[in-house]
This record gives sequence, C-alpha cells and structure tokens, in this order.
Amino acid sequence: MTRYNRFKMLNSIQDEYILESMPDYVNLQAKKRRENNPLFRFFNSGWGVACLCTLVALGVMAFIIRGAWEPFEPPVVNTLEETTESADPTEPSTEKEDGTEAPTDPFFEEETDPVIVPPDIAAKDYGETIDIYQVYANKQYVNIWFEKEAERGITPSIYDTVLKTEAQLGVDIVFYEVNSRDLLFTMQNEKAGAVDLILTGTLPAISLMEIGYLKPLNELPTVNLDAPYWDKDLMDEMSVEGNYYLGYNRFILDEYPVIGYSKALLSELAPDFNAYETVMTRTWTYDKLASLMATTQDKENEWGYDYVGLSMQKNNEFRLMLKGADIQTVKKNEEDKFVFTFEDQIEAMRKVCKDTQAFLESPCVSAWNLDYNAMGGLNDGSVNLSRGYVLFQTLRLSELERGRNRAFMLAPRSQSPVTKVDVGVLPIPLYDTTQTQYAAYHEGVYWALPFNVVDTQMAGDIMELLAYHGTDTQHAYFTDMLGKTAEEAPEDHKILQMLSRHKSVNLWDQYLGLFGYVNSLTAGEDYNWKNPSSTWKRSFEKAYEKILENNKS
Amino acid sequence: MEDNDIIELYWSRNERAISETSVKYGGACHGVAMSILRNREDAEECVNDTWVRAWNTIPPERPNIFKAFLCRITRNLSIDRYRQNQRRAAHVDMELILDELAECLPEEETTGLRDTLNSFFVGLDPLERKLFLGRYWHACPVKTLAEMYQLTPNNVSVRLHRTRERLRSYLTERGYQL
Repeated sequence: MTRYNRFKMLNSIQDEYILESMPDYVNLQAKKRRENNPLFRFFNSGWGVACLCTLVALGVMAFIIRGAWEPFEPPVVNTLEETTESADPTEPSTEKEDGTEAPTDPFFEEETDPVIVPPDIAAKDYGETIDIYQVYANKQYVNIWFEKEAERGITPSIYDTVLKTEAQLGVDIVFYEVNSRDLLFTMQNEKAGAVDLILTGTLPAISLMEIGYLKPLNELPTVNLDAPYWDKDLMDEMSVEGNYYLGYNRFILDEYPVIGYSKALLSELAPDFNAYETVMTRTWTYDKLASLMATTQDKENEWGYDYVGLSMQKNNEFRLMLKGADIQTVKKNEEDKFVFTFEDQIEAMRKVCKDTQAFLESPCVSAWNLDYNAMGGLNDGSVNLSRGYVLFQTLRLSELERGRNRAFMLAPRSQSPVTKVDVGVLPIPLYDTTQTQYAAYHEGVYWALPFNVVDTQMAGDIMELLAYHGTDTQHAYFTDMLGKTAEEAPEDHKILQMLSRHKSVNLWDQYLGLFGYVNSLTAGEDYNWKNPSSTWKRSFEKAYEKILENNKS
Repeated sequence: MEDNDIIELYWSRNERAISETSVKYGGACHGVAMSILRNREDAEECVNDTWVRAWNTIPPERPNIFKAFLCRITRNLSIDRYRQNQRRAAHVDMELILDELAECLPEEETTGLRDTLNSFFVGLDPLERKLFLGRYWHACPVKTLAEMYQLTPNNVSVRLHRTRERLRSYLTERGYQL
C-alpha cells in the first residue's frame, strides 16, 4: 500500500508543473504508428537507404547526361532593381531608409568562432577540496547558475564543466553562496586557503580591492588571459595599474538587460517590422520602440484585457534610457586610469530624465512592482510577456531564460486564450543615432583570487580549465536561451551573440550608488532631479586612492 | 470549446460537458492511464471513470487548470486500478517507478510535505523537473523521455538518479523519515 501512497503523494504538485512535464501523447502515438508502418520501417532500414542512394545516383547521372546534350546558356543578368528585391531579407542591409549608406561598424560584423586550443595542463591528482565562494551584491544576478541544495551547476553544461575540471585535476569543487560579511570573516579568521576562489559582483569586488584582499589573476602561472575563452577586453575595463583583479571567462554566464517581445503579437500588430534587420541596420531606437508600442493602443485581447505596449519593473524606468545613453560615473582615460566623468554628463542626465518622463507618459507603458513570494518565485502581479497581451518587456538575460524554462511562458488561462508565448529578444534601443553600440552592461559576477591563496599553480589550473570547458556552457546558454535551438531562432541567436561579443561593464556605478539613485527618481511625482555628483566624486576618489595604496606591487 | 465554457456546462448540469471534455482531453487522460496500466481496456475504463468523477466533483469544484485537474483524477484512478490488477497485470516499468520513488519519498504523507515538495520543485532546474515529473508523475518510460528531450536513455537515468538523491537529502534535512 505504501508504495502506491508514494506515487499518489506527487499528486499535490502544482498544476503548472504537471502541464509542463506532460508528454505530447498525440504526437507520441502518431510517431508510434509511423514507426509501425512497414513502408517507414523499410526506408529506415539499410535496404531502404541503399534504394534511396541508388535512386539519387541514377538521378545525378541523368542530370549529367542531359547537361552534356544541351548547350550552355549564360544566366540572365538581373537589373539592379531585381537584385535588390531578391536580396535575402534576413541579411542586414547597410542602406538606411532615406537611401543613404549607413556607416559600417565592426559591432555588427559577424565573427567566426576562434579556434580554441586546450590549455597545456596535464592531468593531476591534487586531492583537494576547492571552496569557491560566490559573493553577491544582488542575489538575483547570480542565482541562475547554482542550485542551493546541490551546490552544483543548475544547467547540465555547467555541471559537466565542473565535473570535467574535477576529473582532470583530481579535486572536488564546492560552491558556497555567501554575503560580503561572511566572506570577509572567513578570509580574516580562517587559515589561509579557506577560500580558494571567489565569484563576485562589482560592489563587493571594489570593497575587497580597497582593503587589498585580492591577488591579480595575471600572477597565476597557468592562466593564459590571451586565450579566446577569457574576455580580455572586458577585463581591461576593470584592470588597475595593469593588474587584473577581476576576471571574466566563458564559465560565467552573460547578464545584461534586453527587451523581450511576443513574436505573435508583434507580427499581428506590425507585420512589416523585421526585428533582426532593424537591429543590424542600427535603427532600433526609442522612436521605433515608441511607434511599435503605440500599435497596442485601444486594443484588447479576446477576453477583454487591454494590450500593453511595454511592461517593466517599477523603479527601473529610468535605468532603461540611462543604459542606452551610456552615462557612467567613472570611465578610464587614455593612461589607463579611472577618472570620475559624471560631471561632464550632468546635462545628458537631465536630458535622460526629461526624455524618460515623456516616454513614460505613453498610455502603453505598464510599470509593476516586483513581488517575490515565499518560495522565491514571482507572484502573479507582474504584467509580463506570459500574459499574451504584452508586446515588449524589459528583462535581464537570465529572466528571459528562466521565463522560458520555468513555464514556457504559460499564460494564465483566466486572462488569455493564448497558452504559450513565443518570446524574441531585442537590445536596449539606441538612445540616439550618434551612439555606435547597443548597451550591454554585464551585471553578473567575475572571478577573483583571494590575497592569501596557498597554491597559485592549482588555483590557476582550476580557473583555466573551468574557462576552457566553459566554452560548452556558453554554447548551451545561448542555444537554449530562448528555449529553442540556435537553428530554430537564428536571428535571436545572432543578436545575443552580437551583444555578448561587445558587452561592457559598469565597475563603479553600483558602488557609487548610481542605480539606487536612479531608482529613487521615480519617487518624486515630477521627477525632480538633484545633482549628487560631488558626493559621488568624493567617494570615488577615496576608494580609488585606497585601492592604489593597498595594492602596490 | 474553451475550458471555462466546459466548466460552465458542468455547473449547469448539462451532459454535453462530458462529451466536450472527452473530445478535448480524452487523448491526454488516455495517455496518462496507458502509461500506468499499459492495457487499453483498463485505460479506457479509467478515462470513463474520470468523466464520472469530474461530473460528481464539479460543482462545487471550479478547477483553475482543467487539464491538470482531469489528469490528476485519471492518475489516481489508474494507480488504484494498477494495484487491484497487480497480480495479473503488473509491468516491470511501473514496478521500477514505485521502487525508485521509495528511495526518495517518505512512507506516509505528513503535514507540510505537500509544500516542501512544491518548494523543492520550484528550485529545481526546469529540465530536471520535467524529467522527474515525466517519469514519476506521468509514468513515462525512460526511452520516451530520452526522445522527448533529445537525450540518451542513459543520460536520462543518470539525471533521474541525481534528482532522486537531491530530493532524498532535501527531505531528510527537513526532518522527514525516509
């Protein structure tokens, strides 16, 4: 009896999960019938293949013989007009709508995958347990990858990456999720080597650099930062005096803001809009976004729910344009030193505030409060793409992935006749036409090395192998990103690849409080803007001075 | 016909409710019953009993997700039927499923287990969840799951094993006796 009780216990699982895991019985039965069909079995067998090959060979021979008989005719040369019409619509055009040539830009050029040579690290048997501490400033940014219970990668590819590294080096890798205080306590009070490696967001990273608790990754003997699985350009943005205290490689998953959209709704409301072409011809701007949002005005779904043009989490409204406008508190100068630049951007910031305010006045925007339930899931208060009547939604990359995987964007049945929403991806729009790149600021974590690392050889081996094997992780992340394979959604895949190649980092913005400040802008009804520049400048100078002082070589 | 309309038919005690339900969800419920029973006649009986049970339950029930509601009834009826038939119609795969569940679930359902199980599945990787529930809720053969998710049968078995281990330790840590 008990055995059957256990089976029945699972009956209490949420309805969504039952549907999510339900096999497609109709297709499975059809497939079974097909497989039982003698004709199918014949063509699937060796004999069938042989017959097909013979037929193809006969066809080819017939074609060759026919070609030898008929005289060669030169192909008809198309007129310019015809050539333009027959061009592949998915290929990005360099011609703008007004007929002028759009400037070509390496940002939009497709790159072939670099050849990846395995690192020259022999199999070893260190026999150690490697403690990797993940310290986060904002848990949402990192909880995509690791599962608390198992302390292992959440996706099979990350899991495999860790397993491969463990097997090659004879180590046992354990991940801990901690806050900054716990990490500091462990580093200060436990023996050296208690923390082997760190994965950290920018905010804790700056605090650790300030007190000299990080060792540069370029001092590790086996780490080759020039290998294609490390993102040296991104690391250059964060380096201090030529030292790389923070590392980014392919083990780490990208995390930047994007705009998700309902493919079905967009093709219904704006059938002529080609998302991929618009992005690649650099015409994906706020004006374009606003014009598409306007198509939802005064429309409702079959069940009487008003269409929403753009849905976003409340308090994030100002961030959207801020990202696009490339406003940063601190940038690097030509001498590779960090310089406080916000003073030069005050006017730009004022303009962003004004433009955002005008943008938000559109009746097609819906901003909602983020509301997590006790189990860490999102409560249903959010007006998200899964509802079926939302056209665009601002998301972080991981939300896109989680959204797709968690419930296949299952629409609540009480609001929509749509059961499943197919979601596409777009970058944050260009703030203005002078902007050369779409903004893709990584908001995830970075590798760091504790100052008191005991075995630099072992730490380097681990980091390098996780980076190398992480190539598969990147592949899985991007091909699975939209819940589809790259082959099924090639344009989304290309957009994500483009953003990934050119992602950037805001090292100081979170530390100085830019994002928190921008969020607070929404608190005032008239969005009064006070200039916090002098406070931020003092904080930056103090922290940077400390970093330079405490990390003298 | 939309689910809400079908449910309205049940509420108005219109017998057309059963035929509409059968047309729309007969395949899914039959699939659930067949996975457990592997016997067409028994499965059909369970599906028919499902409509009767639904008729007797709605009203007062007003299910949120009708399909899941019906499949849950079919699953319950099918496992009861399987138990009754066990001597003559036990099949190896179902026995294996029941044995495997014994590794990771307690004998009796106690207070709070339902929430604990749901919180475990919320935190689980979606693919692992689909595989686990595909196997232990829908009683799918490993081979079918492998085809559905384009994995090898061996990979599916390994993943299921890992999830069972995780569930076991998750429940043990929370004081459940296994």
